[in-house]
Parts: sequence; structure tokens; C-alpha cells
Amino acid sequence: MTTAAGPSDALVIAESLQVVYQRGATPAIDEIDLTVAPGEGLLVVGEPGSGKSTLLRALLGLIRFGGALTVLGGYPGTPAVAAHVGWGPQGKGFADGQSPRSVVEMVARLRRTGSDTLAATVARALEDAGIEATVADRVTNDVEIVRRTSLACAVVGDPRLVVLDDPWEFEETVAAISAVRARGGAVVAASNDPGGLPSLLGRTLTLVDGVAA
Amino acid sequence: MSAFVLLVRVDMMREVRRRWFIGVLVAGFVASVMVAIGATMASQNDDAFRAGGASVLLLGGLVAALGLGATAFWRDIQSGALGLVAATGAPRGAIASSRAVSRLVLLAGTIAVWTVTLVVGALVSGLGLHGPFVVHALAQFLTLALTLLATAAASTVLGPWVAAIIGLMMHITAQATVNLAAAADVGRLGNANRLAQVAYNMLPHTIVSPMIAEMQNRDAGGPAAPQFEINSVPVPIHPSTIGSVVWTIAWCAFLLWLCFVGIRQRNLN
Repeated sequence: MTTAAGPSDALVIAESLQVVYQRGATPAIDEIDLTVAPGEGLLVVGEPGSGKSTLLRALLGLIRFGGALTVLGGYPGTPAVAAHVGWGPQGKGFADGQSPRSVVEMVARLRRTGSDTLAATVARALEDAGIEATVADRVTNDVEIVRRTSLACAVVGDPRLVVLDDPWEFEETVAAISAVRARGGAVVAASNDPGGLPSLLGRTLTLVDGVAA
Repeated sequence: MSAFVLLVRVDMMREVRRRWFIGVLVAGFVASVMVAIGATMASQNDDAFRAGGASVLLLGGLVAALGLGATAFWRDIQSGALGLVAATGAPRGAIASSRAVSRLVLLAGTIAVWTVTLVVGALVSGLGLHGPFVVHALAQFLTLALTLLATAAASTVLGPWVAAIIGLMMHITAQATVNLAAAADVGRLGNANRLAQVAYNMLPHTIVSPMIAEMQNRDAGGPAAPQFEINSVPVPIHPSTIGSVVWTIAWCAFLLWLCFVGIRQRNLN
């Protein structure tokens, strides 16, 4: 998979990327070559278990991998790199026991980015994700609020690379992806029910049993 | 604010709102009040207070330690909560240590609430200020910290119920180590005397306060410290030495290191 951008400009460069969860087992992803340039979007699609989330977790440095992988010019997951990578996890357990504001504030503090004050940065991210002030301070199991919280976590502090796992296609999701790309950042998202995301993100990588189809 | 301090604060704020934790805290508080009230009506009121209070700290503290340890890592690894923190740049060492420390602080706070309730209750009931009981509470906290950290270390790789069982086994092992060493000291184990001493020099110890040792030896320790007998002959238990306390703290440090290794090595969601 090639792009117009040279390797030095790319935000993500993967060569022969491989993840094996257990020694001797079939790789969860194998021989993935990938380049994501500034302003680009990439949608990773495939059946459940095809390796979509595994690929995203490798980009974030959450799992061990083989092959070569560079994110923002550095090793994935190191503090210097992670400070500029936004992560919107799937599901709703990641926010268990916390209000949307407390989760997003924690992410903003850990990322230590943004020129605004912390409160203003968090408030803007919550607003960008469509979370009203009246519900931002409540601990909730409402799946829609939690999915919006995931989006807010991903965009708070204007990271250069935004990674979204199974994003819900809210109006705010569309706006956020467009905004990131417009300011020269990149978005990598994974979904097995992509809806309108392919046209929004521009490029699609299809995984079948961990291999690019 | 460092990542460590931030994560300690976030975890504590979240855990103090858990229903099970509030339930244990309140149940221990109510039991402490009942022990203080009940002791004023007992004939041997000092012993009744101390035995009852020690039982609250042991049984309630065990539930709190196992619960806090078992939920330290596994659930949040599976749900993606720890992955979110790690992906945002928090060092894995800070993630592991902050979780362990926040749980230890919550355990210390729980034990402190119950101990203050018991001591104030005793004071109000006319039983006087119980300095030895406060020393016992500190000893009990150290033993429970060992249990909590063993459970937490297990929860980096195992589900909460299995981790809690491992933590409970650590608690029982630490108690058995002390009891068997006491039996070996008076030559009650025959050929196994040396084995018990070797185990004592390798395994963690429960911390025995002077108060509970004295009560246990005259069979007044209640459920928290029944008299230790072999073939119906009592075996005297001695209060823990400073060396034993230091040894158990070293074991706590080792278990904390295991938490760190567990989180550093594993894949996160």
C-alpha cells in the first residue's frame, strides 16, 4: 500500500508487521505493510477476529509485535509518541465507574498537550463529542454516552494521529474525523460495520484472518 | 501532577464509590459499634472488646483486602481501561504501582475507620484507651497488605475469583508458617521441626501483635486468634519480632514488583 507522502512525512509506517499472541500460534496479523500520511484517513475492515483491533493495539504500543513499526517517527506507546496519539477504545468498559468528564480529564492530563487550560480543553472535547454538560459529570452505563466519551478521549488535546476502534457514526464523529484530517493529522479507524466511514476516511484496508486482502 | 499521583487519585475516587466496598466499610463500622456496645455488657469486658475488635479487623479486613486486590488489574485489562491509560503515555510502572498504592491506601483507610470506631467506642463505654489494640490494628494491616498485594499480583494474569483464592492461600500460608515455627520452637513437630524452620525463613509471616499473642495463649482470642494446639496440647505463640516485620515488608515489596512485572510484560486491550 503506497501513498504520495514520502516515508519521512508519514505518521505511520509499518513493514511486515506481525503479532503473535502465543508462541507457536497462528499470527493474529501477518505481513502488514502500511503507510499513513498527514491528512489521510484509513479504515480497517474485516470480520470479527480478523485482526482489526490487534492492528490498532500495535499502533498504540499496547501489544508486542514483530516487523517494523514507526508511529510519529518513534516507537509506538512511548510517552513522547503517545502524547500525540488519540485513542478511542471500543466497548463501554473502559469508562467503568467514571463520569465522561473524569475520563477525558485523565486522558488530557496524561497527554499534557493543548494550548488551552485543562478545563477548556476537556470542555471542548466533550462538546466536540456531543456530550452535554448536564450528563458529563454523571457516572453512566448508557452505551451511547460511553461511545461519545470514547470519541472525546480520542480527540482531546488535538492529537496528530487519532485511532478509533469501532466508532459509532455520530454527526460528531464525522466532524471530528474531518477536522483532524483538515489540520494535517491522520485518522485510523477499525470497524466491521463501516456504514459511511469508507467515504469519510478515503482508504480502506481489508483484513482476512490477519492478512491484508 | 505526575502520572502516578493522577492514577492513584483516579483509582481511589472510582473505588470508594463501588457498592461492594461501601458495603464492606459500613458492615465493619456497624460490627465495630456492636463490639464496643457488647463489650460493656460482658463480664470480661476487656477481653470481649479485644477479641471482638480483632475479629472485625481480621474478617472484614480480609474481605476488603481480597476484594481490592482481585479487582486491581484483571477487570480493567479486559475492559480496556488500563489500555486507555497506557496508550495515552502513562508508563507501565506508574500504572502498576499506582493501582497497588491506591488499593493499599483504601485498605489502610478502612482499617483506620474501624479501629477509630472501636477505640472511641471503648473509651465512651468506659473501657479506657486501648493502646495495645491500636498496635494490633497496625500489625493486622501489614498482614492484610501482604494478602492484598499477593491478590493484586495474581490479578495481572488471572481473573478476580482465582486471584482472590491465591490471595487467601497466601494469607493462610503466612499464618501457618508462624504457627508451625512456634510448634517447632518447642519441638512438637518431630522430624519436621527443621522443615518448619526452613519454611519460616523462606515464606512470609503474619504479624502477631503482643496483645493477640497474649490472648491467644490463654485461649481468649476469639475467632480471630483461636488457641493453637497440637494433639490437644497448647503451643505458645510469640509476638512477631522486628525481623519478622521487616521480612514481611520485604515480601510486600517483592509482590509489588510482581505487579510491576505482570503489567509490564502483558498485552493490554
